[in-house]
Formats: sequence, structure tokens, C-alpha cells
Amino acid sequence: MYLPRIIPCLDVRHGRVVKGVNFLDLSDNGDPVELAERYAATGADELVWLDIVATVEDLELATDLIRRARQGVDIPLTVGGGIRTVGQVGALLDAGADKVSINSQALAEPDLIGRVAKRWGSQCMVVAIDAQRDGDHWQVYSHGGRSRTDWELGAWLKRAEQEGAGEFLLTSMDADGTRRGYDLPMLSFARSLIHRPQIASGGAGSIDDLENAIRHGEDALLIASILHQGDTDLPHIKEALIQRGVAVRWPI
Amino acid sequence: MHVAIVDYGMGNLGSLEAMAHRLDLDPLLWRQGSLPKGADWVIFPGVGSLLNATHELSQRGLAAPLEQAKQDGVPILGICLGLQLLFESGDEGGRGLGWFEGTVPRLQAARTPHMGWNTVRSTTPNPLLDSDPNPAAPAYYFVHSYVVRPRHADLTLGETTYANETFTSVVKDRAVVGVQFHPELSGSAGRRFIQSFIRQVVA
Repeated sequence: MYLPRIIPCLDVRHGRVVKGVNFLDLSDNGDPVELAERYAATGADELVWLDIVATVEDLELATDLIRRARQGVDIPLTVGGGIRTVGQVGALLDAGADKVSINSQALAEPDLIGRVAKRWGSQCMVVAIDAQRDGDHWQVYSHGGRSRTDWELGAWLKRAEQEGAGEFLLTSMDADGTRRGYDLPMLSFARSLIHRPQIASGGAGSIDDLENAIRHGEDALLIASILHQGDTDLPHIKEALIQRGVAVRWPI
Repeated sequence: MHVAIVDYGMGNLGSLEAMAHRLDLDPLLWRQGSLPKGADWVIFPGVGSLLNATHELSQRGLAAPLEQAKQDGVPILGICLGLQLLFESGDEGGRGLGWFEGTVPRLQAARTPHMGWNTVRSTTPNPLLDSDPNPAAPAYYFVHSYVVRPRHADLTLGETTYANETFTSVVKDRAVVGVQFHPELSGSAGRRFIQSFIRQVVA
């Protein structure tokens, strides 16, 4: 039985986890390695690690941490954040990442997708997309949602798939931060156009939201703030989903 | 215990080496020549296409030493592309090692790769898979667009269903085992599978 993936997102800046993380029993609340291991050990199905790797110094810091995290993380690990070159991709994969996620640079240079896919296989090439509703369609934004691009979501999805994307990470800028549920219309629209797995991102605030998205046909869900409140954790989420009749990987 | 990991440029070995360390195994990278000295068993990994893999294996002169290891009864675990390479030929060209009769067709699903967690059902009672204590069938992590189709059903120990298509996900013939999933990315179930492999096949 194919099971949905619940994917915590770690937001890392300069080697520290940003956004409130309240694991009282972690020795260092801000250590991304310890947090990644904790997530993996308590039921995460996969991890997304968003870092900044734009400069040589950033990349070295990130690869050191990922190399350490890899030792304890026994589930798939996707790393992204400011990746611009094939060399940076190689360094992250060498450090132990299973996949890389590329957003702005893929928009600036779509054939980067194909170069990564050709060298390491499309299964490790995740194209991340931030999109916002604009009248009758969704528009793609780059640079963390700061720059509007000329791409309509559907056109960019098809182009990126053609270039060799193996998976998509789709963030709804409208839903992100609201904690009022995933943007199901946008996700359905994307799903109808592409032939690759997609990860839903933005808006998850409760177990209801996860259940709704899964019943709606989404099978990979990124979660962030729901884990940052300190009132829930992965075992609780998975047990609650099972109780509601949603099959997930539990017990692990 | 030493495990040789075949390194022929097809895929990232970081997560396999990390798994070996977590299990107190000493990994030895096998890049050329005959089986590294002291290796008790072999992991034959790989991601990507059969076509490139066959080329890389012969380029590095690893096909014959692998065959020798098999003939010497060294336990070998093929993972993902390493499973597919045990068969004869792929849909889009490329020949495997041909140790097992059968082909490597593409998944029929509209959405590929088959990426994520899926369960493996034993097709016949067997201690390799059945020792997992999980009350539900254990789930493992898969990433692949091709599957193996063995000519002989008795090669299959486990099967998996994705998008209404059921395919062989575990094969075994004497000391050669192949799995379509990635034990090294399959959390504690993956670790238990490797421990079971060591108990049942290596020990």
C-alpha cells in the first residue's frame, strides 16, 4: 500500500534552526542536526532542509552540517536554498543529501534542471515553485516570493518537467503562513498537468488540514509551523491520522 | 563485519555508508578489481538507467569480478538499480548481468517515479521478510520508474503495488538477494531488513 509522506521542513540559517522549535528535551534547540535526527526517529517520512548555500562559506557550513546529519538520518533528505550551480549540487549530494531542491535559479536558467538530472538522475532533482493566485490563474514568483516572474504556473510546471524535474515542491504563497489549510485548488491544478510526484506546501495548521489534503488526493505534505508550537509532534500527528482512518507509516 | 559497496559511479553512496556505520559494519568501497579483501558480503547499489549502468560496470571491469563473487557464494544484496541489473534486459536498451531470467520494463503508472513509502507483501512464507515485528506489512522507501519481471515466479519473495500495478520488489536465489526499495533510506524497517539479511543470508 502506497502511503502518504509527512515531510517536516527545517529552516536553517547560518547553521541554526530558525523559527520556534520547542523540543524541551533537545540539548540544543537550535541545532539542525539534532532536530533532523529527532524528526527522523519520531516518524517523519522524509525531510526537507532549507538553507542558504549561495556563497562558498554558506555552502561549506551547510555541507558540514548535512554530513553530520546524514550519519543519523535514515530517511530521505532533500536540501535546497539558493543553489545556483551544478558544483553546489555535487557538494550537497556528496555530503549526503539524497535530492536537491532548486527554485529561483531554475527559473533563471531552466536547463540547469536538465544538467542536474542528466548527471545524477531526475529522481534527485526537485523543482521548488512559489505561486500566487492572480485573477483566473496562478503566477510564479522567485527569490522567496519577492519577485514576480513572467511564468504562469501551468506553463512553468510543464517546462520544468520537460527539462527533467523528478519531483515538485509547490508552495502556495496565498496559503503559506495562514495555518488554514493547504491550497487544494492550486495543488489539483498542478497535479492535473504533471506526471511527477508533488509535495504540497503552505498552510498546514492542524491535523484536519493534513487529513483534508490526503483525502483530496495529495500524497506528500510539507509541514513546518504545526511542529513549532510545542503542542504536537510527529507521533501525535500520525496516531491521529490513523484514528481518522488515514493510512500512514505508523508505527515505524 | 565488512561489507563491500560496489562503486561504479551510479548514485550516491553516502547514505549506504552511513547505514553501515549505524549497524556497526565496516564499509569497503569496491571500485575495481576483485572483491576487496576481508569483505563478508556485498551491496550492489545504484540509481538511474540500466543503459548507463551496464556501460559503467564494463568500463570499470567490475562485471566479471561480481560474477566471480557470486560463484564463490559471497552474499550479494542488489538495491534498486542493483536489483534490475541482475536481470537480462531493459525496455529502453541496456543489458543487465543476466544472472536471472527476466526483463526490466517501465512502470505503467501515469505518475513516475514511484517515490515514497510502500509496503512489501511476502508472496511465500520466508524468514527474510517475515521477521519484521511490525503488525502491518513493513513499509520501505522506493524511488524508481522501472521494475523487474522475473521469468520464473519462484524467484520472487515479495511484491508491491503502486497505482494498481503489482510488481516484484524482493527476489532471492541462494545468496543473491535483490530489493527494489532502499533499506538505507527506510528508517528502522530498513535497518531491520538488513539485520534480517545478515542473519538469514550472510551468517
